[in-house]
Amino acid sequence: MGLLLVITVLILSLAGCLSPVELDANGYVVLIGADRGVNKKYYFTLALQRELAEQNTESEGGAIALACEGDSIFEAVNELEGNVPYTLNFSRTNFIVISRELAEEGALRELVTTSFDSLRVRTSAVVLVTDGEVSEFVGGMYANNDANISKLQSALMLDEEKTGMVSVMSVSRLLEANAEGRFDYCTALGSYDDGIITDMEQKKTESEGKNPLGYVEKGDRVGGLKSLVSGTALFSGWSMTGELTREETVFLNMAVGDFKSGVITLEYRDGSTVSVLLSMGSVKREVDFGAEGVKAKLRVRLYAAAHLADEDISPRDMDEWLTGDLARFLEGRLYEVFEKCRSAGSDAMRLGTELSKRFGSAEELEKFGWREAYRGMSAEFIVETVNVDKYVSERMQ
Amino acid sequence: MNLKQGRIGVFEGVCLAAAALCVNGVFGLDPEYAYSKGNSTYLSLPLALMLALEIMLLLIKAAERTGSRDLAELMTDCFGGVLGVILTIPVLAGFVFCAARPMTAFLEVLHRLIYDGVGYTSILAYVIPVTVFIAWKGFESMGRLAAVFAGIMLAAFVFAAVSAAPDFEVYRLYPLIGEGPGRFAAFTLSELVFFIPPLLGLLVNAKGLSGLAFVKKISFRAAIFAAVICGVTQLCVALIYPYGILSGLLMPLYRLNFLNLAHSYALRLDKIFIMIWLNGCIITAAYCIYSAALLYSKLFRQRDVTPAAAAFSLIVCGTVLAKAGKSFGFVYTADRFLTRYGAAAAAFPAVSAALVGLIKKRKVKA
Repeated sequence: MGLLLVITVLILSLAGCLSPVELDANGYVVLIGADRGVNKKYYFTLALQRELAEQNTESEGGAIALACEGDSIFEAVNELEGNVPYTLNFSRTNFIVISRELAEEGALRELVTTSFDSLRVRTSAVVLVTDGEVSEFVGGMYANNDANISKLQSALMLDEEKTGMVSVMSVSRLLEANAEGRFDYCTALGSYDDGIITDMEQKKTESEGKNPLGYVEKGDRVGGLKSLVSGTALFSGWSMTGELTREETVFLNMAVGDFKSGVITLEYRDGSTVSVLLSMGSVKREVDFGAEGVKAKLRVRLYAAAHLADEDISPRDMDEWLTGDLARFLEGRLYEVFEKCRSAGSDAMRLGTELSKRFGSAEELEKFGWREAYRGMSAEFIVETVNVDKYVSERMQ
Repeated sequence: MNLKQGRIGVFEGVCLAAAALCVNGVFGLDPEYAYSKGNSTYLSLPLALMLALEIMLLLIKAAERTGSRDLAELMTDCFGGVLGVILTIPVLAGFVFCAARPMTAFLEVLHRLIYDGVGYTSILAYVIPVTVFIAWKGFESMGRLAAVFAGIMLAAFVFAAVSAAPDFEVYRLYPLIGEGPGRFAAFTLSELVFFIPPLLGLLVNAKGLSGLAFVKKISFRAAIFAAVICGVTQLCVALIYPYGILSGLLMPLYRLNFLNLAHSYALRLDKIFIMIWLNGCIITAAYCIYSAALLYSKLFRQRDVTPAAAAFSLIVCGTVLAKAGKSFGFVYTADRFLTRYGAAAAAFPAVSAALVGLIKKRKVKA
């Protein structure tokens, strides 16, 4: 009984927290930006979530930026921590933004492999490559007085699902691609547009008693963030070797199977422009190898819908165009994107993942040398488009 | 007599044994050895469990034939006093291994990924007293505790797996059996070290489970249940992380939702899950410590299990600290050796006792 009492007292004395911290003792870094330094190797920009003092988001919110140079992220963190009254905490980091220059030099390897476990960054963080200055791009991400910069990651992924024009991959996928070499990494390529008139600027003009859109000229982009996703950065191993436009990214996503729905614009037979709403049916990917080398065959099934203002076009003509011409157009574009990826030495279509299913043991797979085989491989794309309007009307009848 | 056995039913017994088997099968694995040349754990773990069950059923049959009421009696009936004790030493070591190995993995994760800047000793100060307390309270207490926690642990496993499902990719399973059939067979056999001791624990505690007939029933159900859980869990892990990543990853189940933040329904729930699984680890460690103490007490005719439980608790605590803190090289080497070849040491006494018991003439005890 006495022993039980002693043990109980001992356990009760432990009923506290391990390493308790005050709420404001940590500064949560939501974004790490890396650019080429002037005096040192890198110039790091850290964006910290600014906690709201009250419910009103008019005057508070957004992020605080800290920036300094360092030969490694640890050096920069040590330098910055000396100047702030809190500890930098990386457990909520959602973005790693790296300049194109550094990405092309393969600096992502050093940044990711040396820092992630030590700084406790979650590998679910997303990498963004940016044209121009990283600090400028980072500033553009919260220039809109967005109260929660963390939401931007979800918004980016939602954009990927809704438009298919964005390709986002977590650091986890980057590590996977480089640990095994079955595919190559690709991620969103960002840019900064200073001409965009943000909500903040509109509010400022309004507060001056002027029309908030009074100074907007025809063609100006109004609203949203100044930082944009302008395409996809293609990687070969750890280095960025090429890029795709937003429109080309749609075809990359189609080939990979990540495409959900989106709109493409192309010319109809009479030369008029038509927007086609596409949604994914299925993708069958086969990659095989033999004496003739590696050969890939991708069958893509899409649901298509298009409406033209010209009432003279009969439903039969439209059906023929959607299931014939459109399918051939898509096949051509898919092949062009494949060629673009291949010329960059990047298996962004992840065809190597299909090929890996052909191997019986890890040893055979590792010996194969996918990267060399990829450069000489041939690919065939077969697209089947289903006219959604015809399907619906037939079903209704 | 202060053996603190008490009595538990089939449900509590299944929960206790299944928890110990699952915790060892899922968290005890050495990632470097298990995944370095392909991941086949989702097949090999259920197979190893079935093998361990087969050995256990043979042992129960041998015990029924010799009229032994538990493992301690079976060992002395089959090999006599001295040889019986000598052959039981690997079994005791197996209990220590199964208590310490998953706890070391949890300690590493808590230290490296959750409690920033908190040392191993400080974390262990929260874990070990609870483990020791449960072990000292005896078999019935831990059985009932396991019944309470089993549902929560299962729910955590299921939720973690389901929430990661959108990121599952079949290609990550390839090559299907890693380095080939030879290595697969060797690896399956090596995994017996995680399953034989927890199953033998049931035979050690046969009295607390109301006899051999119930031990048989509980072993069978617990092994089947654990085979399903271990197989499914490892399959989910294999669908998320390819082997090239897994071999360097600490506790992949904890990181199941790290692939895609926005798509995860279990956003930040991983820290809650690891605490739930830690409870399972504590119960497992307590069960192994108690089983080792009871076996020791019975072999050396001790009337009180608590001194032995205290001694085994200290051994487990010391082993965990030494392994996690990397302060003693030999503990690290012993751990590597046991994860690769410990199955032979764990299986040898059990298999030999089963064979001798089955060959021996049928004996009916008064």
